[in-house]
Amino acid sequence: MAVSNNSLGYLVVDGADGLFRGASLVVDFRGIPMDFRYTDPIRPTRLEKILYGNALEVYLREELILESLVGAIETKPSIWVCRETELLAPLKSITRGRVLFLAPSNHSPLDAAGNVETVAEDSSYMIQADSVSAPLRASFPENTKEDDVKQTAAMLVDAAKTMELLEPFGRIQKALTSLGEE
Amino acid sequence: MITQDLKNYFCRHFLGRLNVSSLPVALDAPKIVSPKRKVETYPIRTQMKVTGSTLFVAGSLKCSSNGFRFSSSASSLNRAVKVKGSKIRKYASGELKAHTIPKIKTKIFENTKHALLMPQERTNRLRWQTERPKPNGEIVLAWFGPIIDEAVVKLTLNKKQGTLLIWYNPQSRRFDPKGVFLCRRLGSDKNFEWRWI
Repeated sequence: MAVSNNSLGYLVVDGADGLFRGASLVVDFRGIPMDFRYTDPIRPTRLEKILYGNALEVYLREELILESLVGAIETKPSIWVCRETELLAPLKSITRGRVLFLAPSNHSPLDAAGNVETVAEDSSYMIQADSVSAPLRASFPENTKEDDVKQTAAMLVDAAKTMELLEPFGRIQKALTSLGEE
Repeated sequence: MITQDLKNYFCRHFLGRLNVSSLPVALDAPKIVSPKRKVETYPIRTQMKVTGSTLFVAGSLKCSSNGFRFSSSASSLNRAVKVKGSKIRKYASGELKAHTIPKIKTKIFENTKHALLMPQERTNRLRWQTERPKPNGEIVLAWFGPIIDEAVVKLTLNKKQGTLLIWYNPQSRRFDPKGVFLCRRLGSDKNFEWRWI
């Protein structure tokens, strides 16, 4: 697996209406795709739901979709970004790389791009990635060191100079929709 | 009778005996009749017969207990409950087939080409942009960025969403970010104007 220093990997695992599917998009710091992969949609049968019980969703999301996607990717990104906090721990254990959860926020802008603030309520962070948007809410896997948080934030600031950090999630969703219609 | 008469005759003449007969003195016991009257009753209404419980009449209440159930079609208790089935067969070891449920699998597809054809989308960030141009006779409508203008193949304004769609040349090596203002010239035929900064 080739390692790209200036790239971000976006992961989406969707389980709406009992239909599970996932996709990954690795982009360079301009947002240009380097690797795009997606899974077959999986609709568990009634028997499978009974047999797997409560473990079904975890098995599908974490073991089947996430592990298969990450294992298939040929260009390893420098940071993995997901939009579900539940995926942080399994993504960290599978990739063993930098992993974070990223979401928009309504927080007022921080003083300058690159500033990082800790949110006391849920041990997440506010990262001011650029000067032309609200700070992003970020979460890291447990036991992530402060230095790692700062380094990751610095890479995000670097990427935000040439791309919109959350935009690839929308592109993945549109790609999955258009591929599903084909 | 004649033999008895001859016997009596010879007994009287030769033995001097008379045949003596006696009559019973006791009278028969009088017949006692009770003066008490016996009352016989006869019902006027017709006699009722119960042939079955109304619980089992078709369409009425269903009765069940611990898994046993009379079907609603059973009209009375007199109707026998049908039991269907057959004698349980004993299977030899290995005779029964055991089916395994296959593990859930998924396929991974690669389609980077499809992703390369999709445009990137930029939202209007004018409210965050502090450095705005102040041209005379123009109003600034939107700011989109960051955009690598030297790598741009095509730009399209999505008027419905108010977003800018960008197609990049994936072969480009340019990384210089810029932003673009969308301005409107007042009182002119040319409505919109793009201004790169």
